[in-house]
Amino acid sequence: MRKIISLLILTVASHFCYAQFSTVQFSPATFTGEDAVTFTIDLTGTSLAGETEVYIWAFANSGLNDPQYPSKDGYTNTDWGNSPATAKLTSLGGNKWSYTLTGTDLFNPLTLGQLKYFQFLIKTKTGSKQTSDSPKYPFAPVVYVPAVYRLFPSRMNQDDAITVYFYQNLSTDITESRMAPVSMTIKLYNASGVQFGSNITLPVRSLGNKLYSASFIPAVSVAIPAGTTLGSFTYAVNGSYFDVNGATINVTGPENTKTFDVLHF
Amino acid sequence: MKKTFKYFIALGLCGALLYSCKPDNDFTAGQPQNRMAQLAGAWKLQSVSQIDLIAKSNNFSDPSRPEVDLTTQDITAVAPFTDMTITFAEDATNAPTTFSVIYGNAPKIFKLSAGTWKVDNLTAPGSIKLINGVDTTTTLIGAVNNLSLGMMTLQLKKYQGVKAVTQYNYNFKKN
Repeated sequence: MRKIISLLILTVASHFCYAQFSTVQFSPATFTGEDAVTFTIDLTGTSLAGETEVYIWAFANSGLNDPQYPSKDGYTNTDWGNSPATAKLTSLGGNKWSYTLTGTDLFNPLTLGQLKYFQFLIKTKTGSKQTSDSPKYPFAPVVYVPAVYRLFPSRMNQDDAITVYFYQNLSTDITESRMAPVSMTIKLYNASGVQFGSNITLPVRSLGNKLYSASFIPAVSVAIPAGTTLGSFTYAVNGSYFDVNGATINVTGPENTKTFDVLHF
Repeated sequence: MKKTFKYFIALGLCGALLYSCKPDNDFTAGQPQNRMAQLAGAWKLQSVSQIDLIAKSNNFSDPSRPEVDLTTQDITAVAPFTDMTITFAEDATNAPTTFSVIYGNAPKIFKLSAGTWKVDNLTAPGSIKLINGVDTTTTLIGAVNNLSLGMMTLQLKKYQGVKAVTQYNYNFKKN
């Protein structure tokens, strides 16, 4: 019982640790280590609410222990008790702040291919108050990294033709790896995270050797009123397999999310 | 005697060959192509390809699946693209005047359906601007030499900030 309570406390604590980062938004949503990216964060409800100056403490590849991706502190992490001006966030009013960084610059001398993800915390100049560590924010790879799902193209918005590739041979999920894929379910979401339109079901195409794909254009699949910008979409593979009695079971694999990028002609 | 005769013939042939290699001194380049005249008319969309410029610039490849192209794919079948026809009208001097697009069920790839059009260079057009009021869509003309064969490729690039990330190639055939 004590173990269960401890686990429960840990789970709740970790939720609150990351809760303050639920307001973090990146622009662009997808970025490589050489792209300048701006994030915004709302510190309302944290110990840093009401502060007139806040500073970033950033670190890359922390905990990876992989020589290909060495850990590195941001160059702004000079002195915990006296953060430099280069680490200062820009106030957006209220408790909202923004900061712009470029991975290869902030984590110099790490190169583009050495940046896997980064994390940060927000602190006062003297370090008297701070947030917890942020979740890991990935840098988009600049080399092809095999994964269970691949989206084409890598940057997309609601007007693009989007192809979801499903590499079933790379899956370690029991449902996903066992099923005979039949279709893919797409759900579109508006900028507020509310589902937009009905689910879209696409047939999957077998490309051989357990590789499947499905393509769609959001703006063709559903009618999007002029001036409406969608925020994201989710995708999941549907299929079937046989149970121990030989009966067919319809199953759906894990749902994955992709945030639309801000693109223009 | 027979050998001497053979050498004589060989020498004669070499001489004839060398004589035939004379420069003809004709330096004319032929008539220039009238690209504007070639652009005029109705063009029907035949195929569409999509290029991930990030994957392309980083030479993405999958050694375990060399048959899968990670940079370019044909998306003609993703939507009824081939419903689309674009018509370029010109005046008597082959200067651009108006354009019109019949999309049918195809996605509105150029956003505009009618208006005026311009090229960057009337002698050697490299890009086309489709204009309607304050809205402008700029496309690049790919493979200009194919215009004389009744084929036209219009390219549209999408940007993330200032970085080109995706390119669409729309391949048309003259109606």
